Amino acid sequence: MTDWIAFIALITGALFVLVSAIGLLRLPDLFMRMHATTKTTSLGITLILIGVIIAFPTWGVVLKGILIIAFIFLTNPLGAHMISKAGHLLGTKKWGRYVRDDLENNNHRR
Amino acid sequence: MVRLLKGPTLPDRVISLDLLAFVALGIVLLNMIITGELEYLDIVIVISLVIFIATVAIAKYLTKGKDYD
Repeated sequence: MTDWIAFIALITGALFVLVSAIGLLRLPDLFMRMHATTKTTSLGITLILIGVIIAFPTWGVVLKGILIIAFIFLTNPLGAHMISKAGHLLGTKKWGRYVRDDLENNNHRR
Repeated sequence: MVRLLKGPTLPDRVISLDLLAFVALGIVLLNMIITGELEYLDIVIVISLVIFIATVAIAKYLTKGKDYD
């Protein structure tokens, strides 16, 4: 029974990472590619780690797994935010049909 | 991998390297399941630390210390 739960978690995590790779390849813009990669890899790696924890339920594995999950959920949005801010500051080309861009307008208001 | 070679700007390559590192992390976890050796989890900790440090360092290098202020 636990083998099947671990199997389902592993397959779902691998599927999320695959969706992230397809999004990185197909989307038209830096910011949309960032949106595709950062969230789905967080969820996918978390699901794979949950599968590992269910497969090997000893204290060391559970503790290290929860530590890695917390660390990934803390740092992955931070790194994505810093990279996207650097890309916006460098002036990378945006997709043609964005409605608003608050970071650009912020400089005029001041 | 294609995006890493083709990507029009440098941040594209950075996020593609990020995804590649996460795929390597998943491969290490699957190898841990297959072989049953518990020491692979330390490798996963080190890889997740290195991903974060590399991303922040490259972002700081790209803007060269400038910021919206």
